[in-house]
Amino acid sequence: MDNSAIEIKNLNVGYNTENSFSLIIKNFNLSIKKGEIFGIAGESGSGKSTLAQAIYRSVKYPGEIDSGEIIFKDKDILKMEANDLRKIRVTLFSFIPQAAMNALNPVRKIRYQFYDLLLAHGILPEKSNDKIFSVLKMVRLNESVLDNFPHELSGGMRQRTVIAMSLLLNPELVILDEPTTGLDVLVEHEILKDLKNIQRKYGITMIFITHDLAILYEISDRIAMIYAGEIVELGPRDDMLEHSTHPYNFLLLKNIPRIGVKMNNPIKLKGNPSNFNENFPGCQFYERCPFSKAVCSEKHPDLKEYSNEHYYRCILFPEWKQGV
Amino acid sequence: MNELIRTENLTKEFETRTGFTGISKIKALDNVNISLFPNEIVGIVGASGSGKSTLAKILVFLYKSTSGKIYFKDEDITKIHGKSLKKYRKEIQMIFQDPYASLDPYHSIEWHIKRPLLTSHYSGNIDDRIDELMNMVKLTPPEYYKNKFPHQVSGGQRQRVYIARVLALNPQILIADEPVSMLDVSLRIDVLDLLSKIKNELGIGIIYITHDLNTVSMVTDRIYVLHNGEVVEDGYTNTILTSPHDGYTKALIEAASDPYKRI
Repeated sequence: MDNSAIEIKNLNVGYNTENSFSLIIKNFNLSIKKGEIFGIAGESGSGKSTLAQAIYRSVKYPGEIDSGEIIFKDKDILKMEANDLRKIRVTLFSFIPQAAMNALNPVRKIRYQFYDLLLAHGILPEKSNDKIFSVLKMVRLNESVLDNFPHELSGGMRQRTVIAMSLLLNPELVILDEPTTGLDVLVEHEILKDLKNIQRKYGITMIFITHDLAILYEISDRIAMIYAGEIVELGPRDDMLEHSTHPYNFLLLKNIPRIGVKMNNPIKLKGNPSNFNENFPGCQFYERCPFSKAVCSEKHPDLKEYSNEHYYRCILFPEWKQGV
Repeated sequence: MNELIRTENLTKEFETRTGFTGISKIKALDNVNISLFPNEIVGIVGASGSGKSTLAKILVFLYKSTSGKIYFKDEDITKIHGKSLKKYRKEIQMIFQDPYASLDPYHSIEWHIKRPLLTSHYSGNIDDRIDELMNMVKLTPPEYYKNKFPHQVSGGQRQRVYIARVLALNPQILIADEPVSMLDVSLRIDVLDLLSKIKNELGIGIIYITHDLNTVSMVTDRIYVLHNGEVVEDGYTNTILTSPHDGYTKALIEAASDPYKRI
């Protein structure tokens, strides 16, 4: 029995610019296991949202999926007919995009927005009230929200509503892109706890995408760090935390302020994010890496195995780590 | 040493309309007493809606308080206006959350830092002063950045440009309202270090407003915890974060994210 929920093979996604096509996601390979929370971390411009959209095949122009395969339930999502794809969305896998809480129709009561979703999948809403109540219960919302308009709900409640909608038809896989950004700290913490409980209880596979590394490490089982559209480190959460193999992950973790932990001049990343040069032959992280050497600018590093399921993309490992 | 700024029972009520004729009042701040000394960073902590930004806006006179008093160096300034307000505004400057919105996209970085010097009739050499400010916020070398436009630099650098701009007036108080929440993780720590550095070198007082207790623990000396417009707890940062008394403070600490914790 195959253990992977979704498999991405040699995926290339890019954006059309005025007179060229620039690749954002390059030769991306990833396999996500059934029933895990898989975290994807990256800074702005690293391509993490593009990746999420590509998995759901909702990349819009000027973005474009160039080539690759995304195997889900033995079928390639990228080659599916639009109609078949529409059928499996929400029923088999669903996507909560960034700022989804603003996606609710402002002039329609929540109840009818649930009904719309059911009708789109050929299900009679009258018979599904119990199902709606049960997903609302999952996200700890009162049934009375069904008779509210979106503006009558708080941001956290709207976000919970959207999560409930995405779970309505029992999907096996849910992709969450920055699900708690813009929410209050306390609400954020509650929603994360609820998401984890739902995931553990129903065995849903979750892909969790965020730029907030601290949250990601709190919730995920496995983590991929993305830099310039490539995986730079991939592994189980505990391994990534204790035995970091790539300077990017290592330094970001060191640079997160924590309560009660004094920072004694931590080594910092150099330069600025989002200055990715497509034609640079060496490591994309070269300019920002405080450990980089001349060799780094010459050859593009491959993904290497460090230990069981823990991979890294760095020529200088384990050399750089001896210095710190 | 005396306080730079002190508030006494500061209260702010907002009026909202209910129905066609009714007016109801919402208390955004309720008898808030805070103080700020020179050479210290004070944190104002609270979840959204706790009134922390309202407090900042009252201190820079963007809002008027409903009741209560504000003292600047022991002088009651609650009712100042006209010339004395203008003078006071030079002494207190604010840094906003979004460095993408606070700079004018049509003008160069040099222009942004030059403007306050021109309008305040700076007496010395303006070019030297610009270089000095840019060096202070580590936009080095200044020549490299001067002619760039805001969209050509990163979020962290934009926030630095803004900080250089407010420092141009030699303020005694800085109010930073969530200055790093829009920035990438790798850039945050630099801006926070810069705030500490400014405090140490210029000896000014900084009010740091945020919901993120992690950064608070890094830069502040004292904190005030605001909840529904009331100060529920205040004291030295280390004391409060290690042994909080109020339930709300405990909840905030519990919710603070930490990669070494598990949900």
